[in-house]
Amino acid sequence: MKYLITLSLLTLIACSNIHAIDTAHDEKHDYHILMSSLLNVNEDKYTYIDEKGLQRPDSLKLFKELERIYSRNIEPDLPNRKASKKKLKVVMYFSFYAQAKNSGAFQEYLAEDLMPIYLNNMNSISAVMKELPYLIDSNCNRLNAYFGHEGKNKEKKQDFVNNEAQVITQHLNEDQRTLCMSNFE
Amino acid sequence: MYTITIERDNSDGVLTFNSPNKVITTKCYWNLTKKIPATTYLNCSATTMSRKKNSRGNPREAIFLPGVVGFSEIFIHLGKPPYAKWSDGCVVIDENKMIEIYNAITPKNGHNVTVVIKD
Repeated sequence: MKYLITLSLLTLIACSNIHAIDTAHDEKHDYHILMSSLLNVNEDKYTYIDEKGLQRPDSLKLFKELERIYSRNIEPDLPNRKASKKKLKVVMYFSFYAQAKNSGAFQEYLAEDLMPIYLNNMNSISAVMKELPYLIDSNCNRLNAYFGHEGKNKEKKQDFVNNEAQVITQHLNEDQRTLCMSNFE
Repeated sequence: MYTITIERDNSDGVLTFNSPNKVITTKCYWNLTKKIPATTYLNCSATTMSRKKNSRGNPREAIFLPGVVGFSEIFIHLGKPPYAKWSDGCVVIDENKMIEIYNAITPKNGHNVTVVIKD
């Protein structure tokens, strides 16, 4: 009996270690994909064989991988639909990526997805903007895109600008505040 | 092999899908401030966009265009009036036509569609 309990404990410890290694590996992989996509490097990571038998870069497979990373990070990981700063930073990085790369799909995704995340994490998002000012313009742009995207929510814009928008810029300096709010004009 | 030809006018255009068994013609639209270059896009694919849903609540059917200069992750996908508001660079058509085109293409994710955009 004593032997069995010891064995079970060892198995549990081993499993928790495997999980930790997998999580770390996935995260490292995700960051590698995110940076490679921004820079258009390592394009031979995802390939397909064309009708002539030649190996070609597969930007569709890469999109599916980016979509998987996006979907995993868009889901809240804290109580009350709040997200950890790490997840928020990845989502906000996607706004930066979408703007920098003129990404049709991710700009359209974020036009719908970012506002609900912002409304549940207003202080944290403002704090991330202060910490990483290069994320300000693209994220304020995607928050504004919520109003009118797919013909929805246009009527809610003025109320947002008058009330909630001030919270976005609470940690920002004057220039940063002006940059953010210019997206709502 | 499948071909989609898009003939663009100033604010909208005509999209024609050609396959061995089917021809589908419909109006198409885009965001006028985010207009992708007019050229021929090879190795496009019928696929789905998992974060967007169609009217039945399923992942949105779409055609993926690789190698769009100055853009990334560009699709032809469904939209409704006001069509341009459904696009950040993508080409938008009515849902029933999108589904008809998607269903006509096999296999999915097959790099088996050529999209020709003309101005």
